Parts: sequence; C-alpha cells; structure tokens
Amino acid sequence: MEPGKASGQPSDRTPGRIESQLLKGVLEYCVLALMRDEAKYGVQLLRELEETGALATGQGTVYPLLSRLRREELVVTTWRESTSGPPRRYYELSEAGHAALARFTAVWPGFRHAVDRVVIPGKGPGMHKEGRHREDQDR
Amino acid sequence: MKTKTDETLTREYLAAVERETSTLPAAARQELVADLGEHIAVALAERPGSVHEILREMGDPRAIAATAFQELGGTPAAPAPSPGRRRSPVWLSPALLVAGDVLPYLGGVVLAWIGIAARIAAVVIVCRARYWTAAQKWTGLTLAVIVPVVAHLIWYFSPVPHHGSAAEPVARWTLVAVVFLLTLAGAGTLWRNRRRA
Repeated sequence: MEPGKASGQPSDRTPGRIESQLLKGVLEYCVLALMRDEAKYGVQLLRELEETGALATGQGTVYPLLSRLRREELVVTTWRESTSGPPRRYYELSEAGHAALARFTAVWPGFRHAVDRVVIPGKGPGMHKEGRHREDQDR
Repeated sequence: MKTKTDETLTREYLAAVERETSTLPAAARQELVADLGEHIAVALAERPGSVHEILREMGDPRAIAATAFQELGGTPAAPAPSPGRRRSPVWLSPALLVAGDVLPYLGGVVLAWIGIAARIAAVVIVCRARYWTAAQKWTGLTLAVIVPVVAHLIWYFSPVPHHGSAAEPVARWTLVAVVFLLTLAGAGTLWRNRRRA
C-alpha cells in the first residue's frame, strides 16, 4: 500500500475520522472525475485514486460505491478482453454521469472557498467582515 | 499456513466479506463479492505473487461491509430498516390541547373523558415530536396543560368555602376563561414556534 508515500502521513495515523467523513461526500465525484476522459477498469481506477491520496480507506470500499453508480446509471460498464489475465470490466460515464460531475464541479469551488474562509486562520470572520465592509464602501 | 495458495487466500477473503454482508440484499451482496473477486483476479494477473499485498490494499472486509450497507441499503444491526417513525401533523397537538379544554364544558361525561384523552394524547405527541425544542415544549405544555390542570385541581379540592357561595359562578367562569386563554396561549406558542422537522 506504500502507506507513507500514498497518504503522506505517519503510518500510525490510520485512516482518520476526519478524512473518512470528508470522503463520504466527495469520493463519488472523484471516482466519476477519474473516468471523465476515458473508460477505465476497476484496478486501474483504484490505483489512480490511491495515487491521488484521496482514498483514506481500503480500495475494496470503493466497489459498493461503483455498484451504486452502476445502479443509478451514472456509469455504464463494458467487458473487454485483455492480453494478460482475465477480461476487465471497464467503467465509463453515462450522460447522467457527465451531468452529475458537471454539477459537482460547478458547486465545488464555492464550497471550498466557503470552508477555507471559515476554517483557515486569518481568513476568518474578522477578515471576512473587513472585505464586506470595503465592498459596501465601494458601492 | 505459509503455503496457502493465492486461490485459498482469495477465497477466504471473499468468504469473510460474504459473512460480514449477510444482511445485505442478496443481489447487492453477490455483485459486491463478484466485483471484489474480479478485482483480485485482475490485480493478480498484473502483479503475480503479490496476493498478500493485494488483499491488504483491498482492506478490512468489515470496512467494505460498512460501506456497502451505506451505499446499497440494509444495516448490520437492523436487517429491516424502518422508513422512519410516522409523524403526526404539526397542527394536531395544538388542536388536541384546545379541544381537551373545551370539550368538557359542552356537557356530558363522555365528552369530558374525550377531553382528558385529547390532553393526554397532545402531551405524548408534543413530547415525542421533533417540531419543537425542549424549552418550547415546556413552555407550551406548562401554559396549556400543567397550569390548567393544577388550577382545576385546586378548584375542586381546595377547602376554600366558595362552593355554593354567591360568588361561585363568577369565580368559576373567571377560572374557566383564564384557563381557556392559557390553553390558547400554549397551543399558540407551539403553533408559532413549530419548525420544519
């Protein structure tokens, strides 16, 4: 799993509560985003996900998610033969999947900024107010 | 122990997942186990001899099961998840409170008992409802139930010699009016402070 490399954290910090809480909301869209440009098979998808560092838990936990995405028809799958080993099931975005990903992509920057503004010291409510104030004066 | 084949290890792993997901809907469970099996087979073809590593990457079967319950329905503890308690409409308890106060005065023992039942039902519903905070519930029920009931009890059991006196009708109807207004105030408080639950 290359713990240190993949997560960039001391190995004694097993997948934290915070990470898994956060992932609940966004993992689905990270998975959709990974197949935005081309169809990918499961092992490939999970390897890439792991490399992004966006996966706090075992790879196996992504399969229930993939299963749901299939049921909701956000992704479609096709079997392709491989030169080595068994055939692979390739995952691909459907129309609905592209639309869902686009909606998320539109919402995400605003959401991220809002959280940054609340959470990061120096960007807190005080600064926020100052900014507002200045805006008001401009008007 | 050290010479378990890839196949045995994989089978044991998948069996553990199956065990942990026994309350998942059958179709979802089969699909999950098949997906995991395919993943392991493909990963093994790409990296022969690293079955331990592959299974470690897959993670704890319990973690997979927990995610599966979230994503695909079913729960580990309660196999049949109830679709949530049925809620009574928000207007019901204020209405019952007012009815409980008014009905006894319309005459008849039956109506009196229905009135009492309505009050009790209202108290139970308010206590269990999610439309109000605890403080709002206390305020509403104190005005509409506790004070009126105490007032009635005092009226009937107090040794004050008003029964049969000339002033009695006046005192009685004053009390009735005050209690009615209190009940209206309590029910009104609940109605005004209701929150979308």
